[in-house]
This record gives sequence, structure tokens and C-alpha cells, in this order.
Amino acid sequence: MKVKKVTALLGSTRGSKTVTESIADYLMKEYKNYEVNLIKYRAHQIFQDEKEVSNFIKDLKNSEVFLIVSPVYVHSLPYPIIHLMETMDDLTNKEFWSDKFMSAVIHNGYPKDIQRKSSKEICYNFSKKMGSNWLGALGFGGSPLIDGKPLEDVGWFTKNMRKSLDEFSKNIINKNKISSKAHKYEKRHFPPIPLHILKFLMNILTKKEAKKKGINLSAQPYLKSKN
Amino acid sequence: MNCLILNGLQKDSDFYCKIKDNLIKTLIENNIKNNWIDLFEKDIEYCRGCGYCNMENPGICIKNDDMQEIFPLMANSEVLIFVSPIKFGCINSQLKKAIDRYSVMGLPTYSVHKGELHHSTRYNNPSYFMSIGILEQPDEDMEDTFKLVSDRNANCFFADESKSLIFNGSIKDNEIKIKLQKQLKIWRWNNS
Repeated sequence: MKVKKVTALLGSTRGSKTVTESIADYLMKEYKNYEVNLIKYRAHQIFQDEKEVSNFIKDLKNSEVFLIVSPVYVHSLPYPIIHLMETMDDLTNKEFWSDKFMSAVIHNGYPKDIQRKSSKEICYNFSKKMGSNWLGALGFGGSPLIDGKPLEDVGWFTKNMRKSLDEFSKNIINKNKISSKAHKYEKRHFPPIPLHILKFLMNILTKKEAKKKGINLSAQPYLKSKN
Repeated sequence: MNCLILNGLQKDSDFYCKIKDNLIKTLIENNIKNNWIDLFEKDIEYCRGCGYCNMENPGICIKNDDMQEIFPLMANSEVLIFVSPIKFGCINSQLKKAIDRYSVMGLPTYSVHKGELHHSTRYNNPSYFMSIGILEQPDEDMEDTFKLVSDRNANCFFADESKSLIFNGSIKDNEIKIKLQKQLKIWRWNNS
């Protein structure tokens, strides 16, 4: 039996024009084609509000799939997501999760998979502790190039990412583990640019912007208060 | 040499006194000054990724909360230690809220470090990083993830030496002391 409802928890703390939102909106469009309803919750907007958390858990209760879409903050998931995971651990039991499926899409700016691995593993550990059925996770680098735009509008850079997400959608809707095809496109997403060239290009852009703004990038303000 | 310990454990945790007493005693024995910070007693807001510390006023966080006391300690400590219950393989939310604010310690420019692209460090610290996790029940997956998160953080901080220690409910007080002493002896302190 196919999935009818997916509840997605979004990890970005930045508002609505984010890469997290670009990915969630892309999946939402995909799911609409299959008549699957994806409901978005922004973790930072709900985690401190009891009523919102209650609404989120109600929606989750009626969903077959729980999906986390999140950026990486300091090598793991952002604080509001970890906070909500702790809350869900307190408020729900194994029965709540036993027939649910869980998956995650993790993103950040860095090219290497290892820089998203810990966040994927945290999602897996959460799924395991709650007793839900883990379907796997995808991860994509190069977030600044997407910059909150619809994935279709970014062009060639998101071509393989979209193919991977298309496959991912089909897998999730059928309650299947993420396929090797989805992972194949995931691996092709970031072009094989040598790191020193990437570093050089990004530093030129950053320094150019700093010069334009007249700011000192390497200021050390907190050294002044040495105790 | 200075050490900053960011603690995410509640005071009523069975481990709070065991870890704090043993750690502080061991640091003093190694001539290391310590600042133990109980994060649950601090007023700390979460990072909203506003970018102010990045390209508006580099190195300054716009939020006027208790992190303004902690940032100078981070900048001036050669040793950084996290203490936290392990939640799904990660540090807990109390400590995570503080650590998400760490981007102020990095430069907007990039470096290649250990074969990975990272934001360059604004300060030279910490040289030594340790992550101490408390796990109620042994769980191999969570332990592996905690070690991975700790390794990732050490890379991100450009630490010269790093270690993660995991204690669970069955560990004895003297075992904690022995493990901490052993680790601190292994590190080749550059405090001469």
C-alpha cells in the first residue's frame, strides 16, 4: 500500500528562503504527482511552543512517513531539531512509531560526504531508538549555489540532485529503502573539483565582498578580554 | 594553559559530580587552569544563521546573551572539553545550542585541513579537544556516531589532539578517574 501522508521536519533556522525549503518544496511537488500530502514543519518555529509541538505530533501520528530535511550546523543537526527529537522521545512511545517509516535529506556547503555523515547517523539512531522503520538518508553539498532558489531554477548544478530526489520520492512513497539509483545520482551531484581550486575560488569571492563592504575578515575581538 | 569545559549535564545527574570532581582534580594535577560552565544555568539563544558574525561584523555575534562571556573563554583556552549525555549519538540540546554558535570562532574564508574543506579558524585555539559522553545503556551505533561527531568537531576546530570518552551507567568512580588521567597524560602538552 502506498503512502498517503508525509510529515517533514525542516531544520534550517533561517526562515523560508533556504536550501532546506528548496528541497522540501521540490519533494512536495513530486509527492503531489503521486497524490501524497507532504506537511512541512519548521523546527525553529515550533520547538518552543507547546501547542505547535502538539499539532506537529498529531500530524505525525496520522502520517506513514517522518522525513527530516536539514542543513548541517557544526557537524550535526541544528539545535531546534535535536531539541524536538528529545521532546518526541519524551512524548511518544514505541507503539506510536512501530508502523512509521523514516528518512532524511541532509545538506551543507561542503563537497565531501563525510561532512554530512554524522547528521545522517543521528537521524538513523533516532529512528532506531523510537522503533520506526529506517529507509535511509541522502546528502548533498554545494548549498550556497542553490541559495534558497527552486531546484529547477538552479540549472545544471541540481540536475543529478533532482534525479536523486525523484528516485527518492518513488522509494519513500512505496515504503522502500533508498535505491542504489538514488544514491548513484546523489554521488554524481557535486562536480569533482580539486579542493585547493575550490578553496581558492571561494576565498577570492569572499575577500572581494569583504573589500566592497570595508570589513576586516580576520578580526579577533574576543582575544581582548583575555583572563 | 587554560581549559574551558562546557557542560550539558544536569546537576541531578548521577554523573555530574563524578565527572566534574575527577576532571577538575586531574586538570589541576596537570597545571591546567579550568573554567567549568554549567550551560543549563546560562541564558543562551540559539543560532539563527543570520550571518552577522560572518560578513557583517566578522567575529562578533549579534546576540547579547551569556555566550558573550563564553566566547572570550573559547578564544583563550588551549583545551576545550564537552560534557554531555549522548542523545541519538549527538551531544544533548543544551550543549548543542551553545556549539551551534561556534561559527563566530571561524573565518568566512576556507582552508583545506586533513583533506577536507573547512572554514579557517579565527583564533589558534583549542589545541586539545575532548568530548565526554554519558550513555545510559551501551549502544554501539550511538557510540560510533558520538565518536564521529567528536572527530568532526575536532577537525572543525583544527585541534592538534582529540579524544572522545564514553561512560555508561555501570562505570565506577575510580574508572572515570583512571580514564581521564590516562588521556591527559597521553597528550603531549605544549605548556612549557
